[in-house]
Amino acid sequence: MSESQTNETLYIKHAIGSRMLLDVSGTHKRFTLAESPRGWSFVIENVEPAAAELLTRYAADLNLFYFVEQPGQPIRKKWFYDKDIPQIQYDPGTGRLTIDLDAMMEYNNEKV
Amino acid sequence: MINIYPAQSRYSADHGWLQSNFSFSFGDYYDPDNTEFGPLCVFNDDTIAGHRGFGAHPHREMEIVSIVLRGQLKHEDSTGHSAVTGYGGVQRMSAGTGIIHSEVNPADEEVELLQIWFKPNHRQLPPSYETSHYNPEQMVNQLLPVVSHESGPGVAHIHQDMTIYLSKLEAGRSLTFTQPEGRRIYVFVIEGDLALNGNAQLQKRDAARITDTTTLELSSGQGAALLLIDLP
Repeated sequence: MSESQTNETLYIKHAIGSRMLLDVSGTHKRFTLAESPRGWSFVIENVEPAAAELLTRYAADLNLFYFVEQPGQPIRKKWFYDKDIPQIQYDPGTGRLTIDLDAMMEYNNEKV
Repeated sequence: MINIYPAQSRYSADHGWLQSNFSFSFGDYYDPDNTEFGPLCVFNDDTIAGHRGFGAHPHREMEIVSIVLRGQLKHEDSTGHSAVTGYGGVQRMSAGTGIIHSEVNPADEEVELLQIWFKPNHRQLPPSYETSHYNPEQMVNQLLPVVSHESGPGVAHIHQDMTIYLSKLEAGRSLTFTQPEGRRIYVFVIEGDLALNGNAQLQKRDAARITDTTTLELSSGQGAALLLIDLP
């Protein structure tokens, strides 16, 4: 990893038992994170219809884990979720999926 | 109906510092036909090596109960709670709208615990935590409530219409548990042998998921330590 390289990781898991629903980084799909009026918005490209259906089905129980790794820095971990049900939009034509959430906690594994 | 789930039918994982046995889908183990029994959705039988454990991680919308069978478990969370629990202690965490917590074995010896998750009866509860202590002598040949929606001395409060009981049956002794129609019973044998209604035979770490049964007789030939959950 070069000094200027930042590595971003995104996992989407089920809140009960932590079953992996979509390993965005493992599939090398592009994604962006931005603030939104609701809170935060993830836009993920090239999502297959089956994956979108899975996320929609378990919308009330989604945990999104966003990790940022920079050379020489501890990994920053952010947990995104919705206190109620997130807003999910999916365009099967483009494969673009947007998840809008209203809650985030930053944490690291060393201390609560 | 009594459905028996033998100990060896559980999904087992050995990570060196952690040995886990999952009675329901959890982590890498997913069976769409085995995700819950009423509001009970996780029942993990864990052994954690000394000074190891689970670093800070998040939970939400779950009632999480930890019952220590042997050793010690240290809990810390983002609401500021910190507690060490040993045998005779129960930890109850309501994750509610979101909490970060860690669970670590602070001692040299292994810790053996049951971690049990339930769906709450209401979502969006404020996160909360408590440690309660029961007297093991009071569970000899008795069903001692240790977690319940009903308050009581030595009983941790849970946000669900259910009660967890512990019992230690002496050899040749029996107990009867009754509940209204339309509810469920979950039985887990911690140690020993157990017979249910005179014929269903369970051994150490076996479990039974029971429906349509308002009266359950529990008896043991050689003696047993058991957990019983009364569920909607």
